[in-house]
Amino acid sequence: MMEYFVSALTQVVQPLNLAVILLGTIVGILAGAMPGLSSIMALTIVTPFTFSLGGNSGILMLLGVFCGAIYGGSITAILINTPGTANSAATCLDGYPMSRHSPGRALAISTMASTFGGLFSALALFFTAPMLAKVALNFGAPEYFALGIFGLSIVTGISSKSVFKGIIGAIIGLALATVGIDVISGQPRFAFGSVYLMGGIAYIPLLIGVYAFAQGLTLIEEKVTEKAKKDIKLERILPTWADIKKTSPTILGCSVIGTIIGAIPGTGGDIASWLGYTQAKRFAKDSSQFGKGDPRGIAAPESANNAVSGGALIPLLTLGIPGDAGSAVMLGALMMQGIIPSPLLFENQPVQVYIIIFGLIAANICMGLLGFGGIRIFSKISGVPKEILTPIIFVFCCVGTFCMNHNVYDIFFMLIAGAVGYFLIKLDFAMPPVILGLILGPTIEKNLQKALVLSDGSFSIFFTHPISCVLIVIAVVSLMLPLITYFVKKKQGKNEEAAAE
Amino acid sequence: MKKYNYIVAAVLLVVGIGMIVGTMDFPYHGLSDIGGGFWPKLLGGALLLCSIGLALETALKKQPDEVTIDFRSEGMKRVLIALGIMVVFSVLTYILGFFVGTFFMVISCAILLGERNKVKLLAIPVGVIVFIYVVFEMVLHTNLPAGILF
Repeated sequence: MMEYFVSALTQVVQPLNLAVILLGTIVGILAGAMPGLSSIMALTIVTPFTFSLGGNSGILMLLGVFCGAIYGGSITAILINTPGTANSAATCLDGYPMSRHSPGRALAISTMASTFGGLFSALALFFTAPMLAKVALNFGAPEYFALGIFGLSIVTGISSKSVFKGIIGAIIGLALATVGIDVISGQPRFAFGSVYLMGGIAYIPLLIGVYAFAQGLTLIEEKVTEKAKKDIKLERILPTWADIKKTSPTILGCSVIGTIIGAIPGTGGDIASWLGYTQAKRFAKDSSQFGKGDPRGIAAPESANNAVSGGALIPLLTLGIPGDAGSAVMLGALMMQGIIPSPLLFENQPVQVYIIIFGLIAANICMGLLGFGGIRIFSKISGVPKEILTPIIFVFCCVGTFCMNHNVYDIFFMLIAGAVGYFLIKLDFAMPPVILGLILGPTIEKNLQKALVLSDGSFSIFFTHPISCVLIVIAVVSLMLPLITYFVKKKQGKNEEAAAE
Repeated sequence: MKKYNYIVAAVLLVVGIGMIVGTMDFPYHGLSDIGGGFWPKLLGGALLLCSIGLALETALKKQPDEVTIDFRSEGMKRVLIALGIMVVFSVLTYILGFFVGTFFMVISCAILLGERNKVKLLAIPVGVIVFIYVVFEMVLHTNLPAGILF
């Protein structure tokens, strides 16, 4: 085991790799700090470029982007009351009131909490992932099929107001995964004689289309004209001892919350940050200052949403199930680099696993150093006008898409996917189930076939294996939950009406 | 939104039927050897049921019709123009290459978003193209699309 740690650590601390982590973190912070750009958008655009860097450096750069973008969102949330990403919406509540009299103090608390949250979750990943992988080593085809369905159902259940729209999104993703030559029968499916489609639908053009290009179209639709050109002077860049003492228990508690939330497939930083904030407020001895600039109100959401980064990698690396949309992009990127996340990854490529874990730790350290050192520069980024930013996003979408396969048709496919995705998002269709469906589709289909061969064509195999049975039951319950909640609320409403009469 | 929900449900219904019909002639030897057609058929059936479910859910909803897509709004008009720009960009990229397409796209989008300063309108695409050329063509040795004419 020790030789894997040493080998992984030696690779992470190479100057080139440290430089790409730093660069990735800078890109992530900049993207996160620009309202309208999301961490997923940054990840999708950067992913194709990382292929030029080669295996480990590319992955390490992505980890930098992953961490940096979550943190970056807090900068504009604190300074101009506009969250750079959805993850930082809760930070506005106390961050902005504090920044009106001491912006440097608010940013310093945010940086400290974000760094701690990220490091805590990276250590949680280091200690828990190998144990979970050992358990998952006993998984067979029925368990993998059930796990895929479970992952999809969790995302589907919470990502849209309409349960049908959520399920439809997942089916669209699964259906897209069937396009191309079937690996088992060798027959082409839904390729319509096109050589381009024979190879299947590529992840990256679809991801860039629905997350980055569609987001660019939203920016064009909104056309935010007011520019945040507030000249902000930061009075300090490091937290005070009093703030460290006051926020430490909150940061620790919310880091645990964020790590757990991140490890649950289908959740994300936004849920973690709101949950962290409400819990910090609930358990505070004096909660009267929450909403008026309480340091714990900044520390709680920031430590929770940054802790999601390590938590989300736990199911990703051990089971191949992404914890959120950001880790779904990571999964696609890892697979393209030849790293197939599964319990066997810890057996077959242990050094790669520890490179990812140590890389995440290094990325969080870089994020902290950049946060404390470069906050004065990052705080100016929100002033970049949209008329310059949006076309640049489009150019990067196209270049990023092309870089993957050097095929101009990928650019056209990305544009079509983005346009369709934009209208589907407007109609409340969530994109994470589509992406997860596309990623998990081949695993689900392959294991369904294998399980049916093993059971001689009986579906009972999925219910006679305990883990598979439990996962399928949870999947069904999570899909039914919105319907159950709807009927319970309806019944409650009727009871209240009757009581009022 | 009701109208659009019905349109989406109808389109998905057709897609679902298409998936089932399109894999009809795939070999199937029972559940122990399902072949390549079983899974798409299953998905097609699920899509069909969900599209009917979506249509029913929309019809039974008592809440007022929430308009989320208004093709007459200024914002949507800009989006449609942007999509038109991307179509022209695609054609230009395919025929004349990526840099010509990018020059047109960046200028058009900047004008669409309200930029009127001529110096900026010229400087932004030139700056972007130089950056892309240096990073991708010179440093990363990526040959961006040169177009069928060149």
